Order: sequence, then C-alpha cells, then structure tokens
Amino acid sequence: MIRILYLLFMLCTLLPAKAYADGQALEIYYTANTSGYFDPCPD
Amino acid sequence: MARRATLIASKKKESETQTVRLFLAGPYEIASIDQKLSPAANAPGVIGQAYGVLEYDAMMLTPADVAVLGQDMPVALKTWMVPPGKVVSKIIERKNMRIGLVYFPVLTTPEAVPSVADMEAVRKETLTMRSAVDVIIGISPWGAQAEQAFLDKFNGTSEPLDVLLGGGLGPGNRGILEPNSATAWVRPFPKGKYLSLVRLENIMSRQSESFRKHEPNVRFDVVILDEKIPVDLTMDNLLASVRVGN
Repeated sequence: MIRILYLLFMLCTLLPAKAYADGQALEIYYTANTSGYFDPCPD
Repeated sequence: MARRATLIASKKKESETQTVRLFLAGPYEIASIDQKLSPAANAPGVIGQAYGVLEYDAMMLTPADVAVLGQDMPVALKTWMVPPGKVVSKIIERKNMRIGLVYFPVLTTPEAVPSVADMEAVRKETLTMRSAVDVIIGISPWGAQAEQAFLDKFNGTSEPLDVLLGGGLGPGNRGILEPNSATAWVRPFPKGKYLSLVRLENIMSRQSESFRKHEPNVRFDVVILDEKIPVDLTMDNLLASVRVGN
C-alpha cells in the first residue's frame, strides 16, 4: 500500500514537469518609456 | 544602457532549447512623453548608434522617437519606424515559434485618447493574424488608462492578445493578469533602470480560452540594472562623449 501511494506521489510530481517540457516557453524582456510616480528602485 | 547591453548579450548567449527569449523596445524610449526636452536630443547621433548596437529583436520607434534621432539614424533602426495612425504588424520566428507583433496605432500626441475604431482596428489585425502565429504580442503607446480600457473592452470575449506591452503616459506595473483575462499586461517603470520580464510557459498548447485563470503559466518579474550587472565597455565608451558633454 505504501509503495502504491509512493508511486502515485511520484507520478503527481512528474506530471506538471512533463506538461511544461512538452511546450516551449517564451521570455520577453521589455523596455519602454512610461511616466508615473512609483519607482521600485529609487536613486 | 551599458548594463542593459551586457544583460541582453549575456541572455542571448544562454542556450535553452525550450526557451525563446525576445528583447523588445517599446514606444518613447528616445522621445520624451511629458513635454520636456528628451535627454537624447542632446546627442541624437550617439543615442541612435547605441540603440543600433543593442541587440533588440524588435523596437517601436514612434514618429516622436524618429524626430529626436533625425535623418542620420542607423539604417538598422529604420526597420522599426512606425507610421502614425496605423496598426502595423510583423511576424518573427525563433526556434520554430511564430510570434506576432501588433503595433497599436500611434496617436497625434501621447495625451490623445484612442477611439473605438482604433481599438477595433487592433483587434481586427490580431484576429487576422491568429491562425498564422503561436503567440500575439501587442505593443502600445496609448498610456495606462487607454490600455486598461482596451483590455476591459475585450475581456470576456475572444481576447485578441496574449501579451500587452504598454508604454506612454501613466505608471508602470510589474505585470497584471486580471481575473478571467488571458492577456498579460506589462508596463515598464520609467528611467530605464530595469527591464520588465514576462515569461509564458507551454506556448504551443496555449489557447486563449483554456488559458484563463492559469496564472502559474505566466510569470512576471523586473530585472534591475544595478552594479551586479557589469557595464558593457563598448557601450560605455560610446556613451562617454555624451557624459562629458553633460
């Protein structure tokens, strides 16, 4: 019983990784000019 | 910009077969949006050269940006000039991923409010493009309020964009994915000390309807260009003359 539960647990941890691996990821690094009042890293 | 050059170059060297990295420059990078004289106007030739050296995959040079750079801008930058009042789209491909870029029409001034027709024109362009690409990115100079209005207008319908990269008047944000929305909205913070980062997972199986409420598939971050990132010496030397002038 413990073995079955362990196998199920391992399967659950693997599934999301497999799902992500099936598709590519897109990372967008973006700059532009805005105006405003909030600066996360003030001088 | 010298740290930005280092970051872009180093990220481009990193090889991850499952990750496509895009470096995009949005509106008003060079022009001012608050009626003040743009710092770039003091040395448009140098600034043009600097942007030519940066390894952006795409840019949006509004007529205001072009006006600051002048006629002598590097030829490589002329590709990214966007005419006023028109939706412009481009498709770029990286590692078999087809990425649609839709440039929102540039209005007469940064303060101008887009019409319903402007919004519909953007949506029409994206619907035409959808079957030909894997992901659609909108790039807007409309400002925060109009971008929010655009998102609200099409929320709950077949949403036109996967990502909306904003610019112009209004504050920045770290990244917003509103409830029931499939469009990740990012507005950079001013001063050019950061790069906004949005990461979309599992692009190929992404469908706008099934993607709703799958927030873990979208990650937002801000890359701070501080002393942890060394300056690029070539860029630093290029900008030295401008600093002396100041």
